Formats: sequence, structure tokens, C-alpha cells
Amino acid sequence: MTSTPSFAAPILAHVWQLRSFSPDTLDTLAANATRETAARDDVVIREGEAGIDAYVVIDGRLEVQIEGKSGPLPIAVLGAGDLFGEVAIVAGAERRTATVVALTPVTLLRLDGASFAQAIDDDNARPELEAAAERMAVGRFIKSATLLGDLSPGAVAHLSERVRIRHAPAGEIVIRQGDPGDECYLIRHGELEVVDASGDAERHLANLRTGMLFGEAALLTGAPRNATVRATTDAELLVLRRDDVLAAMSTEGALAEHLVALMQARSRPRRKPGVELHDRTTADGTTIWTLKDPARGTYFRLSREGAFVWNHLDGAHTLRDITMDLFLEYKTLAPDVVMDVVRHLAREEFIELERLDTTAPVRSRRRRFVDSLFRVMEYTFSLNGCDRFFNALYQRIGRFAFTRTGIVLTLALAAGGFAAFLAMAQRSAGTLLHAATVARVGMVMIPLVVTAIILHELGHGVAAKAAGARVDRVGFGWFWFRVMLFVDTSDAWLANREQRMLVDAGGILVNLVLAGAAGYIALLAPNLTVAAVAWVFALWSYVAVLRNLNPLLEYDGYYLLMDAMERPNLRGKSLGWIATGLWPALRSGASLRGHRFELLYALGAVVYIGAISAWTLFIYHYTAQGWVARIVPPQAVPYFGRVFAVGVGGLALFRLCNDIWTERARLKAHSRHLLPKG
Amino acid sequence: MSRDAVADLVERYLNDEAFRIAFARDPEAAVAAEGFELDGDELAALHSTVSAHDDQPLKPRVSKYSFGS
Repeated sequence: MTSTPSFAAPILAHVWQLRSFSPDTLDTLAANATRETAARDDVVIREGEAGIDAYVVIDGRLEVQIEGKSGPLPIAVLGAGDLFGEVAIVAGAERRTATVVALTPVTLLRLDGASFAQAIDDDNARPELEAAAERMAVGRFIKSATLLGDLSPGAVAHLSERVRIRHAPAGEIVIRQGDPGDECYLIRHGELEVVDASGDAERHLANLRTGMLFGEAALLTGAPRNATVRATTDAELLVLRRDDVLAAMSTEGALAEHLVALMQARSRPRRKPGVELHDRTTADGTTIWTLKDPARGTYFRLSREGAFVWNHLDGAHTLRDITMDLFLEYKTLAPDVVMDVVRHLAREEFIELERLDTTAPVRSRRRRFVDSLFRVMEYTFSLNGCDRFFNALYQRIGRFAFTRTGIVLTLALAAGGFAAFLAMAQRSAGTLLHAATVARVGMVMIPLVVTAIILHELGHGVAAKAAGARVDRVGFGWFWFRVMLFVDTSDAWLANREQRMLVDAGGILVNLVLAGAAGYIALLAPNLTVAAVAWVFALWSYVAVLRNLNPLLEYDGYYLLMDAMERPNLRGKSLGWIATGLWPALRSGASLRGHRFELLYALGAVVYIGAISAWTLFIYHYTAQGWVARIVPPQAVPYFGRVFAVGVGGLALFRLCNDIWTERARLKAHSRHLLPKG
Repeated sequence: MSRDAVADLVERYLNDEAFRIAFARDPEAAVAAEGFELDGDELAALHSTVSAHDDQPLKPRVSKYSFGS
């Protein structure tokens, strides 16, 4: 510590809180000031400790903290020219009301507390300093006692400067139902009640106490006040203006989430018109409810409690009403479940909630990039309204495949044809392949393959009709560098497990029948070229079936596995458990036996990435390498293959990581943490 | 615990963000910390709901066939 009063005066002249002090007063303060230094992380003053001196920051940065329930809460950052420690002097208290910690090495000017107190009274500076102390107290309250505790110190300071304080005596109506509203309120002291005054008699909705916020719905939606709020005791309120709240929301994502959650918690949601609730019972007797929005072709699975909540979303019940009804009906005390269901249904647009009259929620840069990439890499062109076509196809042709005769014929064709294919392979695969090469069957194969793919998709559609599901959309597009055809069989979510598996297998069965027919032709055709074409087509079909059965990508095999296990969104859930549950389970020594499937699936996904990279290298070597060699120097040719392989593997890894992130975010969005505890 | 007290607990959950956060971490501890005393049946009611957290949107079932597969 060194005493340097001579250079203190010009520093004090630039402290805005001291601007009403006369030059003589500043000189007196400077004469009694000392210069101090503190290292990073040093505590300059500590909350609750005795001390009456004030400080001015000469250089460096410090953080003002208050003690929260779970540790220190930062409420402000101080820099050169800022004054601190004056609150105790102004209030006449001898205990510090906050802790100030050096964030960097700092140089400070320490002002003698007695001289400072005398100067305040001599120059009549008390009102201004008291106002500054009050702003600090408001910031402290906002940070420590309200849902705005997540705000950054800068945002807290910003709001503290702009709030207005309103005193409401007991019985005063603070907001009136039906009035417009562009302010919300934080309760600093006192209690209030919320009532629905829309009917003949008032209906009590909620009690509010210190630290709670109200009036947010009208502020966020621009709609009139949806309830009346009346003080039941003398109350002191911090009034937040709409513009200030929206400005804070634009930079503080957590604030927006809190306010929306609060608004939803107090809402009276209503089911979207036209949405249907279907139920079915699984083999083990469990009932599963599924919502269907026919207008958008979207589906949502509900548990028993979820279906109960859905049935109560009539625009009259509050979440409190529904939670109480759920408790009385099922002895389930679950406000978090009710809130989660409503929040998820709102996010998926199955219910009507008041819309926010603010800017759209901000998506992170990474999320925007990922969404854009997926839109480009999985782009589709759809043809809607094709259910009538599939109905007709099923009625005129397809349904015969589901009769006893049709099933026998299908199996005979598929099995017999496969036997014929194998017999030909054993006897003369080399001859057939040679004949196919000589005859250049590639051009013949293209229309055969295209036809087979179209029939494959029609197979799914017809099977969906057999399961009683609608088929409203078909189309084409590309799926990560591959041109594809598709048929949307989402309506099969309403079917039972066996019916869904039939829909999943419909395309593969068509391929097996076509391959079987080709096998017979290969066996019986007198012409070697015809036999060769048929045999190569059968070979392609069987390989295609095997690749389609890969459960690690969202092809038929994946849906078959998912439906067989009755585990919707299986990929995301398996990978999500690996990302969120494996490490805690390993740390706690818990048995992994119940999660063998997730482990296997994740292992398979990783092996698949390696396999597809190796396959890319193999294909490059036997096909593209020669072509590449014509346009790049010979020594660069092998590197191109490795770049392709790494690129393909990298994209597969990216998809894997994205699925993990998505599931992790879904789990974190739940009110009750579902992540296993370590 | 009376029905009114359960209603108070529910109301507190829906209106108090800090309580909601504590409830998310450990429902039983959060309820106890705020002075709500649950009997055996109510504790069972508090723990009987985890399966409902599996309510979720169902991804579209798009049976696709790419020319590379």
C-alpha cells in the first residue's frame, strides 16, 4: 500500500457518482485517499464483514458478487472510474452488502469512510448516492430472489436502471383483466392474488409472493390482460417495461425460456381443432395413445397421463386444474409432467397457445447450420393426395397378395426363385457373369432397377393400405448423395405392431418376389443372355434387400427393428443413452445389462462409419480411380480416394453426432431431469 | 397432507421458477425444503410418473429406397 494523495484528485473528478461534490470536498477526500493494489482473485471487500471505506477503480476489472443459495452470484462488473463500497456509508451500515473480487490485477484508490460520510452531508450528495445504492439493491434482488437470476451482470444492471418502483396497498388492483398491458411486475415485498374476473363471480387462480413475476403474458403476446391481479397485503413491485424486457430477451436466451415457461405454466391451452386421439393396446396389455394431426400429417405419442392431460386441454382448465385432476384420478402428483406435455404439444403445434408478439426464438448458429445442411442433403419433392391411388391399387391388385392363396404364391415364388438362383450360381455363375459382361447388360439393368425400386415403394404403400393406414405422400429427392424414391407411411403409427412390421417389410417382399421370378427365368430361359440378365437382376435384388435391412440407417431394417421392439425413435434414444447415460452408469458401477441394446446399436453405428469409409475406398479403387487419373497427377490419385473415404465417414459421423445432440436436448428440455444421476 | 396443501404445492410449482428448478433436480428434496410434508401415498404419487416423460413427437415414417442401396 502506498499513500499518493497528489494524483488522487484528478481521478476523483472523473467519478460520476461524485460529480455533485465541490472541488474543495474532492481535495479533502483526495488528501485522505491511499492507493492500493490487489492481485487477481483477491477479495477486496467481503459481504457481511465490517468496513466503511469506499474505493475507486484506477485500473483493472472487478466483479461484485452476492451470496446465493448455491454460491456467489455476480451482479456487476466494475472497471476504471467506478466507485464501490459506498453503499454501507450511504446507508450508515457497518457491514458490507456485497463481495468485490478482482478479476484482473487492479489498482484502487481507497477513500476514508469518515471523510466520505462527512463529504456527502457537506455537499448534499446523499439523494444521488442513495439512488445509486437503491439501484444496486434492486440488482441484488433481481439476481438473488427472482427467475431473472440467470441474467448476466450487464443485463441486471441495465434492468436495475430502468425499473420503476410501485407501491400497492392491500386491496389495490394492480392489473385488470381485459386491459391492455405493456408492463410486467416483480414482487419485491408483499403478496397478491390472481383471479379470473371474466364470469359473474371471481374465480381464484393463484397466489403470488415475493420474488414472483406476473403480467408477462400480455407483455409477450400483445393480448389484453387475461386475469386480474390484486394486492392482498401492502406490496412493493418492480415495474418492468415491455421494451426493456424484450431487449433483455434478445440477448439473454435463458430469460426468454423462463418467461415462455412461466406463461405456459399459467395458460389455459386448447386442443387444436381436427387433431384426433387414437389408442391401441400392445401385446403386453399396455395402452398407447397417439395423436394425429391430419392437416399436417404429424403424430405424437402419449402415455396414460399424457392422454389425460390432452383430454383436459379445453381452453378452460388451467395447468393447476389439470394437475389436481390428474392427482385425484390417478394418484399421480406430477405438475412437471403436465407442464412437459403441454410444452411439447405446444412446440409440435398440437395445441393452441397465445403466440408471442416478439421476434422468433433465436436459433444458435450451429443449429441453423445443421438445419440448413439437412435441408439440402435430404431434399425431397413430394406428390400429395395419393391415398386414392393406393386405395385403388390395393383394391384391384394388392389385396390378393394378402389372401391365403396370395401368401402361399408369394412365398413359393420367393423361396423357389431363391433356390433356382442359388442352383444357377453354383453351376454357372462365372458363365452368366461373363455372358452379362459380353452382352453389356448395364443398359438393360437400369430400367429393370428403376422398375424394381418403384415396385418396392408401391409394396410399402399397398401394405400400408392392408394395415388400414393412409398413404398421402410419395415423392423423390436425394438422401446424402443418393437419389431416392419414397412413400410416406406415417399413418401406420396408428396400426398395431404386426401391421406396422408388414408395412416395413412390404418393399422387401416385393424385391424378394421379383428376385424369385428372375431366378426362375435364369433357370428356365433357353437364351444365355436372357438368363444372364435375369440372374444378375436377381443378384442385385438380393444385395439390395440385404442393404435395406441395415438397421443403422433409416431404411426398412431400421423400421422393422423399431417396430419389433415397440421402441419409437429408436436410433435417437439409443444414441441419446450412450451420450447421457453411459458415463454416469460406468462411474456409479451400475449394471449395463439393461442397456445391452443401446450399447450394441452404438457399437454398430461406429463400426458402420468405419465400414462405409472402407467401402468408399474400395469402390473408388475399382471405379473412379481410373477416371480421376485422367485429370490429376498420378501421385495424387490415391489421396483422392482417402479424401473421399474420410469425407463419407465424416458425414456419417456428423449425422451420428447430430442425433445424439438432438436427443440430449430433448432429455434436457424435460422439467424433471431424466439424465441418470452419477 | 390435505388436498389444499397439494394444491398449494402445485400452484407453487407453476408460479415459482426457483422451485421448479429445484423440483427438476430432486422432487422429494425440493418439496421437503419448502416445508410441504408428504405422506407415504403422496410420496408414491410423486414418484409414479416417470414413464409419462416419454411422451414425444413421432418422426415421420418415410420408406425410402435410394439408388445406391
